[in-house]
Amino acid sequence: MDDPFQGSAAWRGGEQREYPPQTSLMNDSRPASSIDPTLPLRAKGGDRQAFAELVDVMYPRALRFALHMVGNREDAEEAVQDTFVRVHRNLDRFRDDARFEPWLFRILANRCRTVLEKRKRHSVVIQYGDVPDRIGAVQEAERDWTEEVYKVLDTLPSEQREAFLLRHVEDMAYEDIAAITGVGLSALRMRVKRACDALRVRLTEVMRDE
Amino acid sequence: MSEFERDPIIDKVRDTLRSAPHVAPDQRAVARVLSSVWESPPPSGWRRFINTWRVPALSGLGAGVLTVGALLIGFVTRGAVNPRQEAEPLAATGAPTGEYPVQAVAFDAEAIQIPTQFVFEHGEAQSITLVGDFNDWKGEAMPLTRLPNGLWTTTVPLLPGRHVYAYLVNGTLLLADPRAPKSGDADYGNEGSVVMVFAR
Amino acid sequence: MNRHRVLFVALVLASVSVAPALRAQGSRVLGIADARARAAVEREIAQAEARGLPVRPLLAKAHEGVTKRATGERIRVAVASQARRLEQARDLLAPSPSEAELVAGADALAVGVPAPMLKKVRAAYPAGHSVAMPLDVLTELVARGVPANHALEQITQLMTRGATPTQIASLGASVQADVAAGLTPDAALEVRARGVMSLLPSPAAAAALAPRGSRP
Repeated sequence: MDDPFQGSAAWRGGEQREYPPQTSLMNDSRPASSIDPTLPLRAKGGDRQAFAELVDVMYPRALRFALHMVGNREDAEEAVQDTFVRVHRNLDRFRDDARFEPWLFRILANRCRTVLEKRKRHSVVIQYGDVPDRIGAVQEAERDWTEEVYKVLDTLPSEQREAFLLRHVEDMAYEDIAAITGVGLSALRMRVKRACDALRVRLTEVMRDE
Repeated sequence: MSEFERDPIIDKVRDTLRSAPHVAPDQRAVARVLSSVWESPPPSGWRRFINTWRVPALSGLGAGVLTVGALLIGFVTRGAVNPRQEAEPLAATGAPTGEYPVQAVAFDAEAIQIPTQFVFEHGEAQSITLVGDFNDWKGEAMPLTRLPNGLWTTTVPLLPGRHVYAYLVNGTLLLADPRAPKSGDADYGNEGSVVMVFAR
Repeated sequence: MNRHRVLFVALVLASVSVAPALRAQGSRVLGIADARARAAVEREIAQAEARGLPVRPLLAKAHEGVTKRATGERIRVAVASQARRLEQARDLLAPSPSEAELVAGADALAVGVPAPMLKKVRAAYPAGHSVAMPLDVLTELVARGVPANHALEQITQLMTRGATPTQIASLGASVQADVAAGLTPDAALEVRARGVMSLLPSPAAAAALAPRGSRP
């Protein structure tokens, strides 16, 4: 096991070794997951360090989902922050045998829906001023494609967008998505299908032009 | 994955949305989230009570078994609640010192807790907590405060004796105190630091 | 459904009354998610408890392992080792050592203090006077590199001359500082023990002044 302690080398500018990312040796049979299943249990028990690690691990994914859902960074960050506050507040309700990611995404999806409702988004126009937020350091060649993807994504009805993101970006099983959204399996499949159809139709042209 | 989901366009969309280069781990953002979490008030007692009702309905037999079981466990373990603590003071006197109150016992000098200051320098830390044998190595109760000069400090009441401790930086990095002697660690092989506490 | 709710209310009310006990029972070793490993650690603790050993130091040892990201098996071994040391300390510090003395004794054994020395430390103070601090200082001196024999000799001499736990603690802290400043451990102990000794009444004076059994 890596030595998490450092001697005087850690004092100032010395080489510091971080804990390895939590690939806990304590539970070798954990399901494929980006987080160590001990973390939410420890956090539930009051371990702040464990909760901080949870946030550290899940923040990028949560922000990515929120950004794709609500379209701008400020709202996305607010939704994510709000989500973690609620997660922390409700840890005592988190079942020991449950999986953390679907539970987190359920709260996050709710937060995003709330943001969208507050904003009363219409289906057509995206805010071009926000696009640089999301494209960032994308290569020039990819810019057109990326911009189009975001455009189409933003024009999807929010429930289709949500279902598509959970299924294809977050790689969740339909059963988990059903638990997250509260929607039945067949309705979910239909939402994902419609999202895929819309993306396919509108992006085929772009692909052809490249 | 069904027919309509297997598609080079959908695959490419997925890769585009997944690779979102702007969503790199951002320590400042995480720190902001954690600040808002720690600062937010805990749910009210009423809310907690309401939460306890929100459970799946139990079968009659299940509920009955659990009730009997709970009563039995409670009866058997009643003595386990608040086990007698070695240093439980018999009387609380004295003014609070530093950030924590110090409790004194009238006649047992070894049970008087001594305010002990810890100082650590770490320019880049977002948070530092003190962990050691005096708090079961759980740092939640003993965070250090950052001073404008960049030093982190806390003063905690410790019983006289030899204590082993370390600093937990940003919740992930465990560091020994470069100003203190090293402890051994026969069990886990990870040295911490030693402080001898006594009334001066 | 109503019947289920009534039963559930009964459960909640019963649970509220025993909740602290339940919490004490159910949340002993937090942070070990592997059920097998956690059960093994709990078993070690339960067995130690059945042998009359204090549970708190063992839980602390387990939580130390959690914080240090040890494997479940390593935690189990650490808890078992600590339990063995506590048991050994209990025999050596008989007749009725306090939990603080047991923990101090276990720490001394862990750092390599030979077991018979614990008995000699116990004998250097009258019954009823805690030897936790002298044991802690013995541990610290040995950890700093003082040969165990030398450390034992100086500490027990101070104890039989009537040095208080606080005075012995100050010895330990001074030797720490001296070693950090570059003195050899032996030399540091020599000079600091001499310093504390000079503050204590001579053996004859101590015997004359002190009422029976009132030594610190």
